Amino acid sequence: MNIFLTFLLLINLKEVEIKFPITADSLENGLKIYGYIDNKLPMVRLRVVIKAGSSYDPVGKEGLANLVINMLLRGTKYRSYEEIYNFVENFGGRLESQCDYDFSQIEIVTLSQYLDTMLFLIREILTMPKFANEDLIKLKTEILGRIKTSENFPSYLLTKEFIKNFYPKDYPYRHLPEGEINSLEKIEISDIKNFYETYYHPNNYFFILVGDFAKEKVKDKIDKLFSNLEKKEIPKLNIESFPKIEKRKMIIVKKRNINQSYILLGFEAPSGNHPDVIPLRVMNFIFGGGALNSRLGKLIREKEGLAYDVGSYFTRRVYPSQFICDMQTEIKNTDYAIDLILEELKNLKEKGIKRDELEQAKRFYFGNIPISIDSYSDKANIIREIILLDLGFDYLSHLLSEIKDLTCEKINKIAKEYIKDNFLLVIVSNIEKENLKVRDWEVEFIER
Amino acid sequence: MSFLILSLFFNSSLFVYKDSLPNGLKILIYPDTNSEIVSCQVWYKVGSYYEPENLTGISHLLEHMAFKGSKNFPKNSYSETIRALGGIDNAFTSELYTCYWADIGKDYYDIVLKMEADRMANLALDRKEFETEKRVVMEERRLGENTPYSPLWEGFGLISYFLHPYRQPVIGWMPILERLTYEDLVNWYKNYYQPNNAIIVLSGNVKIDEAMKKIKKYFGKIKKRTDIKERKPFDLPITGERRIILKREVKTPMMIFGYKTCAINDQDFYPLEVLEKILLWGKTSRLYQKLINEKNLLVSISGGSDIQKDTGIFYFFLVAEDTSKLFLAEKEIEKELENIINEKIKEEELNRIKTRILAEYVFQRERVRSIGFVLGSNEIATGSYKFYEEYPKRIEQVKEEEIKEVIKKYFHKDNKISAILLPK
Repeated sequence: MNIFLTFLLLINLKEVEIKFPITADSLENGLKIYGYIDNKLPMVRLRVVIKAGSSYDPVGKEGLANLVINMLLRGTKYRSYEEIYNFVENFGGRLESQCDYDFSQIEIVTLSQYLDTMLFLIREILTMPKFANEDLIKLKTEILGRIKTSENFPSYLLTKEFIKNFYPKDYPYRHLPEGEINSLEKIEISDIKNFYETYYHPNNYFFILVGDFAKEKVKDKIDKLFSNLEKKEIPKLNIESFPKIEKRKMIIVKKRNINQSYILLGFEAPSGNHPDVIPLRVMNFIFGGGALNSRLGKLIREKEGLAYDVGSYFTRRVYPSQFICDMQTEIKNTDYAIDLILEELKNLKEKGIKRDELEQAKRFYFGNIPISIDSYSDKANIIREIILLDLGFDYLSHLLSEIKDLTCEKINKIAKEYIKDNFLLVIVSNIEKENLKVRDWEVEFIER
Repeated sequence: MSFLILSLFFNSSLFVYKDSLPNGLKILIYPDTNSEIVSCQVWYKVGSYYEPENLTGISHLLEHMAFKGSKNFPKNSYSETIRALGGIDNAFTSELYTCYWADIGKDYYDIVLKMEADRMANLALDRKEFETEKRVVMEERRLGENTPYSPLWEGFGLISYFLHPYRQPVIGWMPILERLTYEDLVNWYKNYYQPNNAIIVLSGNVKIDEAMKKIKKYFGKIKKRTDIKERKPFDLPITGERRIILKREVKTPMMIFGYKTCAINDQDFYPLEVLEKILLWGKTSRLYQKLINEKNLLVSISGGSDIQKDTGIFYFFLVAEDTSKLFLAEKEIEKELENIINEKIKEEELNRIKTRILAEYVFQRERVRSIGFVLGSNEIATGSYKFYEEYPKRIEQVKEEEIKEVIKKYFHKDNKISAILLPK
């Protein structure tokens, strides 16, 4: 460690005062409104988040949730696809939709003076969809084309192959939100309508507003527009088995005409609101999440020059998911790079972290809060995470106090628990079988 | 509508403080007391635009090396120190500039300035580290080679410019990267990392007088080493259509085609910008509606008026499910350009675009880092950060006839360049 940094670690950081006042309102039908008032700019980010992401796709109809959120923008009883966008853009706004694993979302970025108008439009989009078959055909064609384009990219194949093999059959995160070619072809307009009828009810979605708006006025407006909608019972996901890697397994996906190996190595990780998440995040920061300053970054990129992109992360989701190490390296270095990652994992598990590493990580989190909530978009993302994972409005303060109390012993215990002997390793590469070291693992080769 | 937004635009104009030091260092400060952070940026006027053909990629490689430590902040301590204060940092290199940025809490930007001054004056540049980092950059280049996009873009660049450095990829050609020497790197650093070739941009919660004191303290004593001559690259005129076909194992054929246009300070720049929005801006754009939504010819379309400084290109990037659709889409785009010349552009369409541009001016200010990026890049590309404010005003004045005129002037067969990637 450099002298300057050593000196820096001796200085106490200024006590961070977390100001993140979230406002909350609700209607009788269960519709919730969360807000963060910030008058810096005359604009509002308005989101409606539906608790029905791709994890709710029925088996064999993967990609359905994504189609539904996009079909909402393809037309209402009163407006065509083009007219919906024209309406927003005539007022200078932006309109976007998104489908993730745990949620679907529509966002309008608007100048504050047009907020009421945009709320009116959201009401129309959410409650009066046209759901025309010709629109579904067009949308499916567009998405199928995008999937076909993605298949040109090794990183897409890697992720797809990894999740397919990592999660048990029928697990909600076993497919990408946009679905697959086979499953999309099977989806019909009746599926769209059924999914919509099942999940798009006021008690299953919530608003997030960040920016320059008046809380009471917005509440009244939403009340007028949405209070006549009825709440309905929303079926819960029925998850029979959770990810569990029973043995070490390596899958090599052979792809010709590439000159690197794309590597993903993964372990099981807990659900996003599990008490282990915070220590696990700090452990990950030290191991591979802190970019070039992490252990993986320092060793594999800085010292060895083996990769441009190397790191680790874990996906924070409603249900248990994955803790991942990933990198890309020249084919001839594949074995060596894998051995280095395994060695570092072993070091972390057996020897644990050092006190100064923990100190640096703590300082990062303390100082990083204002940066992580600088923009309206950042703020809206944090509110969404708080609601979906039920983290509580005091989450940011709680995060800091928990990090403050973390000890090396706690992190080392977490490392021992989550870095298991068994893992899944997937490689997309133009490597030949005989050029890989023989390992005592289950190995599968797939030609693409 | 447009009038309402225009008044909003004038009411929310940016206040930017501009200054310079006797050593030639320029300073731009955008104070925003609503933010709790400061984005600290140092911009050097160097990128692939400045590279001779035997040194392609050297500016980008130097950017990587600049994280390897300086005299008073050895090894990785620059980023380590920033992380230990909760900050985040990174850098990027483009044709015209290299930018180092760090976002940090408002109480700690002093430290970033101190480290940046050391980076400017005393970069360590270790010979052994140079060899290791070259390998990292080669891995970065390979990442691009394994996608269909990089080879297609590089092919397009090569036939678009025969002599001008815009033909060179920012990351450099692999055989050139392999041959770059440590001495090349040291010379490049000494020549371009000087106060008279740099701009400091501070965006966020700073007090101007305090910030200026700090900048003077750390950067004031750095002497300029040499005068840097302004580079004025040139190219051969295009005298007929240029077209190449590449083949590779891809699932979807792709094409980039475009037309050489004008430089950034040309009057035609603004009508070309409006034309870009008419044709390609989002779901309401004419080409999305026609080629994807109505005719199902393309999987995706993007592009626009790419003008950085010297003569640029207006391009279209098409991805189709099969080759026949790709070529049909190309013809449809040419037909649409004809339509714009021959038919009246609806006032509603023009107004919508102008309104959106003005509103985007407000939306862009959400993040202090983004404002800093806009100020720094405009200062280098156009000679003044004020271009940022000038842009929406000039867009507002663009007339329908000017849009038709730029199509007639630039979008013809003898000025056309295409690179096509077909499945093997």
